[in-house]
Parts: sequence; structure tokens; C-alpha cells
Amino acid sequence: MKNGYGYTIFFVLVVSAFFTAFLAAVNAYYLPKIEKNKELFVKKAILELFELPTEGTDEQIEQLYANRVKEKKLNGMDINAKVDEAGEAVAYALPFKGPGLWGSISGYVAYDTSFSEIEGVIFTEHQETPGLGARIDEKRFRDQFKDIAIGPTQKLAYKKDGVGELDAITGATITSRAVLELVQDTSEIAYKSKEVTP
Amino acid sequence: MKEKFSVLVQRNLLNENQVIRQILGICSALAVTNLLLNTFIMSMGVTFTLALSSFTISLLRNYIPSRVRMIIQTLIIAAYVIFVDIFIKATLPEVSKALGPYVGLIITNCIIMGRAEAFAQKNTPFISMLDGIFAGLGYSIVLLMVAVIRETLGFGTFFGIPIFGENFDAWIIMVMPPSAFFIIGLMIWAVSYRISTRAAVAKK
Repeated sequence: MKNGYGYTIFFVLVVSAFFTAFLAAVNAYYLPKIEKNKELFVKKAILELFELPTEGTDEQIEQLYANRVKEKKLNGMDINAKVDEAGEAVAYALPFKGPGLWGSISGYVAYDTSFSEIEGVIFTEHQETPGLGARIDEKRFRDQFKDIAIGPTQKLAYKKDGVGELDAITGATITSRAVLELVQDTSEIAYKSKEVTP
Repeated sequence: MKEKFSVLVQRNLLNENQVIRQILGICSALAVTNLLLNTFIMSMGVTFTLALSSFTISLLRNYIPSRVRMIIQTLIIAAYVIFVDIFIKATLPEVSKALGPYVGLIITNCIIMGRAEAFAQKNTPFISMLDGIFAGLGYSIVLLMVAVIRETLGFGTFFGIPIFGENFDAWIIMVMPPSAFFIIGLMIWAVSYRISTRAAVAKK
């Protein structure tokens, strides 16, 4: 009886249903908290991009974010602005998302208010290879993009291309190229918005 | 086959330690041991999964159809691992990011399937759970020992607290997985050597 087809199918169905229900309940219970953590992580990333302090409790981070970062629209795109104590915008962060090696890479590029140069790059999500592609998260790699002027003819390139100034990551050519392309595309959008005030 | 509690403890922690005697669960032992905090959370996750999956599998052992035995075991293990994953994501987001895919990969950790097949299948729920807990502790002890060596030498910290002066030159190799390979190798050698010399003495 224990090895009959009917019993086997019945047993599998019951056990699967039980554990699926268990996990669905756990997931429903923790989902709001996970979403909140994700939001906080993005907020921290934006603060870091704007060179604001990211230390402190969750409440302090939320407070600082609320005071110094404002959400704005740029040609219908949601962007973030860094504001000074008086509420004047001093920098803008444009989001990007595009294909990397294993999955999509998303993050933000910061520009000055006249959209003439890059002020920083940060990544909020990627599935690149740990130790290789994942090194795009390192400050040393990201800081290379700082102070690069953007313009109609400006093309970002790596040293190994012969014309560029940037160092690619050894062993992560595809990731390096993908990042370059994402920053380039975002910069083109930014440059085109030069005349628009968010 | 009733086993004394003390024998069960000694077997799981030393004589048949999952990592250094059975050489199971090596991938996670290499991957997560460069920081003590991550190692500690990973160890807790594995021990928790081992205890509960052994208990559940043992509880159902007389009802599981033999034809689908392994897939049911995997299902039970996966359910607990996903629970651990969600729990860590919700309560310790930073650790969750650092551990990356390794929490999810507890599902394929050979230790858990090994205990299910070798022990929980044939024993009562309570003793199976104890076996799971101590097998997990055996795993944890080895990983924590490796992590102590790797974190102190690789970052100069202990649970994130700097312990050497500012002039400490970190050993880059200790941050990378190959170092765990050497450390675990030495541990395997030391323990095997001790056990084999003991056996030789006992023979005389």
C-alpha cells in the first residue's frame, strides 16, 4: 500500500501543499520588512553617491535622506536631487538599469546641476561574479568616473581601447563594458536634458 | 540501533565530524569563512536546518513512499532553507547581502541530505534532531575555527573589531577562498593523524 501509485501521488501532494502553505505564510509575514530593507539600502546608496554620511541608525538615515534628498522629475523620469540646507538642488542622480553578465545591473549616476560632468556612480543591484565583476562596487573603480565632463561628443572608454582614461576590471571584460555603456547612455540622457530644469 | 548520547556527541563533533572527517559541506566552508559574523550566521542556518529537517524526515519516515524518498527529503530541506533565507533577509539585510547565494545553497549542502539518509531515515524524531544539532555544531566549530584564522590575518579584526595596530599588514590570501582550502587541509591532516595513531596504540 505504501508504495502504490495512488498513495505516492497523494503523499507528495499533501506534503507539497503543506510546505508551500508554510512558506507562503512566512513570506507574507516578512515581505513588508524585506521591502523596507531594500528601500533603506537604496537610500543609503544615494546618500553615499551624494557623499553624505551613511553611518547611524535606520531612523537617522531616513531623517538625513528626507532632509537632503528630494525626488524630482526630469522629462518624465524619476530622479533624485541632492539639496543643500536651504533646499536648493546641488546635484542630480539619474537611475539606470541594463544587462550585465549574469543579470541586470542597476544603480545611479550623479551629475552637477548643469549636467556638464559626472559626480559619481553607484550600483544598487547586480549579480556579477564575486571577486571579478562584483568589484565594480569598489570605490576605486567607481571613483574613476568622477569629474568626467559629458558632452555631445564625449565617449567613455577604457585605457585598453587605446583612447580612454579609465581602468577596466581584469577578468571582467563583459561587466566592465556593460557598466561603461550604462554610464554612457545615462550621460547622454543627462546631457540632452541640459536645458530642462527638473 | 540505540546510541548513547555521549557517543552521539563525540561522533558528530570529532570522530565523524562532517567537514574534517566526512569531507562534506566543503564549498560553503571555503566560501563564507572570511568573516566571523557571516560564518556564525551561516553556521546557525545550517544547524537550524539540520535539526528541523532531520526531525521532520524522521517523523515522516514510516509514511514516505520509498519511490519518492529523496525528492521528499529535498522538499523538506528546501522549505526550511527558504525559511532561513527569508528570515535573514528580513532581520539582517547586510549579512544576507554578504552571504549572497550561499544561504540558498544550504539546500544542496551534502551534510543535510547525508544526515537525512544515514540517520533520520532509521531513527526516532528526537534522537534524529539531536544528531542534526550536533552534526551542525561539528560543522560550525570547524568553520568558526577557520574564520578566526582568516579574519584575524586577512582583515586584522575579530568579529569586526580591530585587534592589531594600524600598521598591521593584512594577508590578502586569507580573504580569498584558497586560504580556507589550506587551513581545512591542515585540519583534516591533523585530526586524521591523531585518530590513526590512537587506533595504532589501541591495537597494541
